[in-house]
Amino acid sequence: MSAVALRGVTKTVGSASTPILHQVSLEVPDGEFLTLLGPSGAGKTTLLRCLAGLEQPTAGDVLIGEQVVTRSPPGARDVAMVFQAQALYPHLTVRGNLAFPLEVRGTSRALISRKVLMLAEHLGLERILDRRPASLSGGEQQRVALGRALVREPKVLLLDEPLGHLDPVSRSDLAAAIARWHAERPVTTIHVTQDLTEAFTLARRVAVLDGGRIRQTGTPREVYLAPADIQVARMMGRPGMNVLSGTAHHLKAGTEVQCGPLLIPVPLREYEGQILIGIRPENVSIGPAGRGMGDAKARLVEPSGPDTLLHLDTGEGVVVARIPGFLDVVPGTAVGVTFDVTQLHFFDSSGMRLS
Amino acid sequence: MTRVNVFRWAGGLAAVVTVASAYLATTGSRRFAERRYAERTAASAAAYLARVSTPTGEPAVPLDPAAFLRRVRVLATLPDWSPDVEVYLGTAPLVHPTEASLPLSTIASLSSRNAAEWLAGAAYAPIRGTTPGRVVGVVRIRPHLPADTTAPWLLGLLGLTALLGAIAATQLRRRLWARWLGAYAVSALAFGGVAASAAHASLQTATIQWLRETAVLIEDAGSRLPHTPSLALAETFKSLAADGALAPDTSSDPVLERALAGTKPGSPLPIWLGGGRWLSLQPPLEDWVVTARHAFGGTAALAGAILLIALSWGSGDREHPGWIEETLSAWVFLAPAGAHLVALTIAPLGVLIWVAVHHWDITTGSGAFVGLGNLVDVLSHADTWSALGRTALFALHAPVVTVLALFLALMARRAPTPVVRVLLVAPPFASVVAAGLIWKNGLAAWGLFAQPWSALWTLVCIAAVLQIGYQVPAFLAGLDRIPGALWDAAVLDGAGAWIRFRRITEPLLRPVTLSILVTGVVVAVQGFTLAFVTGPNAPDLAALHLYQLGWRQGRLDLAAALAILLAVVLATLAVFQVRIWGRGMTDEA
Repeated sequence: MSAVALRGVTKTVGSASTPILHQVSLEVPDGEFLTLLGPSGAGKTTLLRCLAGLEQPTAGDVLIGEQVVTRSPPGARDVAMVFQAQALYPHLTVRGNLAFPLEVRGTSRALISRKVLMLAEHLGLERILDRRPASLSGGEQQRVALGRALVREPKVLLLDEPLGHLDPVSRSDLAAAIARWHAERPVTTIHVTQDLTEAFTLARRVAVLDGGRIRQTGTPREVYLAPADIQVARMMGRPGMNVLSGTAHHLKAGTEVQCGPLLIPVPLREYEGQILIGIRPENVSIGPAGRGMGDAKARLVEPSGPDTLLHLDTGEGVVVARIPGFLDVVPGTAVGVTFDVTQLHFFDSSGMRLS
Repeated sequence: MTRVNVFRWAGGLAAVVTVASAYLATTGSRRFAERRYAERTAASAAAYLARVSTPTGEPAVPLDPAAFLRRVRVLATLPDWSPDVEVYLGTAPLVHPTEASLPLSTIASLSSRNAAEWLAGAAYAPIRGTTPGRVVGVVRIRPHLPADTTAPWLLGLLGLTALLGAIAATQLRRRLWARWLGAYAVSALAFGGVAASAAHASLQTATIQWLRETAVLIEDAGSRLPHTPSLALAETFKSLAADGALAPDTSSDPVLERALAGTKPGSPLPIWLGGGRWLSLQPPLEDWVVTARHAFGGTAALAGAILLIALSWGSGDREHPGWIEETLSAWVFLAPAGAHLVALTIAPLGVLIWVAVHHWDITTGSGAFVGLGNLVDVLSHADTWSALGRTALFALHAPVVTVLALFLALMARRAPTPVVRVLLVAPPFASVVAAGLIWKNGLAAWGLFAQPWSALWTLVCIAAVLQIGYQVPAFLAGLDRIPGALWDAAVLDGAGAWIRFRRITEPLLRPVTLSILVTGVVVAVQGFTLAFVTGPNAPDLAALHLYQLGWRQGRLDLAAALAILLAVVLATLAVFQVRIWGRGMTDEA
């Protein structure tokens, strides 16, 4: 077990002008479970592959356990990886797949079979040990893939969207298995996902990656409650935060922001000019037209059971509101919109958070 | 198999039977008529030759060969008597002396029977002397009836009937299906009627043709015996009438009336022999049973088959309303491929097997059944064994080339530019003949084709280059199908290049390797073109040996037997390769 660090890692493919990874620096202390969160195309998988040694960074260094391993071959780094899909050897049984990493390293037969059995018991694979991957369900396949990564007790475990292709039940089962394993044997783990819930279930710390740059790191709670910029803010939650552009006016009574038809009193002192306001759907409420901070037209009503998503057209952009229960709003009617002013997020015109 | 499936198969089988039997019904009657005509004419011509070869009209043994030859010449040039005729004295052809001689087996089988014999599209009739059972010559007649004008009508009606039947079947249990079925029945009956009349017309044409030609023979023979009275002539020439009857014509009608009487079908044909002598040739009764059988057979087959299809569809899947249309369209789409398969693969294979078990004569296209005799014969030649041995040696290049191609494919994947791939894939772009000739002419300068052994090894090298061109892309395609994550995972586990190849690449590539290897061996064993273009010093590989045996020595039957043996050996080899090496291979791999 060892700490992992990236120092200014940049990765460019071919002669492309935009690098996939741009000066990424990241510290993962020994035994930590870090989740890399980002939309597809953010460079998450490339980052993992650079860490594993399957790809060479164009610039920068990769450190595992205080040692620079940038130029070391993958096999020498003692890193294991669970791939998104299709990484089980189809011609070997589950037992063969689990034993493969140990066989390659020349472990004795007796030890191999003991370790495989132990792991199988831990991950609940005893009954499928002699089956081929093609006859397994997706959840079982990923469980075996996890087992194959864990069997040789690597220094670093890399999980590349391991739950991505699974149905909800297998997904939560496997997430629980990962969490349990990590609690018992805290191996340094870097987990990649684009799913917020998955990140929040597993991670102690989250790094948000977008456009090849680390946008923010912190606990899930920090990242959720205080997103560093509007990209992160939009990424958090489903649907993400509404962002409205407006103009702030400093008055005697306080500061007010005019966003299209909405006039929002804000707890900001002495701010004047262009501003971006973020508000989560659950902090938007509606009332009869003419009441609240301004009127907007209902465009789309999406009931989902516990609550209803209401798309409101303010004329300057769409605001999504999450209203508890079912709703009797006919699309096209005007409603009054109110924001919970204690839950507002402010960003300057470049998208950075205003403290 | 489910019940629906059984009916589906039955329906399909019935459709095939319909077409086949209707086709047979339309062509069978005509073939039957042709055969009738040829057999009768051959018998008449044989009787004619036996009578006219002596001055007295009495058959004599020994036959005078010179007189016989003259008569045969006369026969071949008689006016209004122009069948495709050949006369053999013993086994020697007289009309066309350059033709192949008659097999002794034909004479043997003719000597044991009295009537004409039908063999491979021609009728053979024996010419007998006075000694009982002694055949001195044979007359061969090939039928040449005028073209059948009803054939387009028959085919049109067959098509209409099939169409109506199909519609009736698809409309089964729908609103108007009974009417469609009625229309179909009418059409099937009309087909039967036309088929019957066509069959009858063919038989009649055949009889009239025979009647006229026999009349010509009797006229000619009669004119050689100018003083014999009608009654005696009728007795002397009785045998010329085959299964008809010859009698003196006693009618007192004027000459013109008598001559016209012969143009009515079924009526006796008057023959004027000069000197007031008239004979009357009475044709045999038309065989109505045959006509009816053909017509009824065709109609019944047609009706029965469509009825079976209709029944099968009717008892089909209620839950799946569109399946009749689907079955129909499936058959429509399958038909061209099926016809292609049957016409170009299955039928020739059948012919090959038939030829292989007969003592087959390349000139007559027929021969006696010998079973495995051909195989024993061909295997008793030392040539065969040396050709087989050389082929085995030649085929050994296939596994070596496969290993080489796999190595090259693995290298080519790492190659920085696609040029390497193109170069590896390029050789088979040239045709094998062109490549062989280019190589041959280029390498002949070094004397590589001067000796059989060096020619063999040179051929192995050329074949290897061509094979690599086919195999590398196949391996590249196979490698592309293996997910890259498998190698990544193995790399992370610390597996080196050799372990990755042994434990992952090779097992996952095994189905590709296996098919390439089997194909390579098959191509090598069948290797004909290369050896053929190499010229006179070409190593006598099995395929070339087959060719020499069949077309140079004219023993297609031996060649066919050897070809079948080779096919069996190859199939066994392929099965062994798959069984032994393909063990543990997974379906999904």
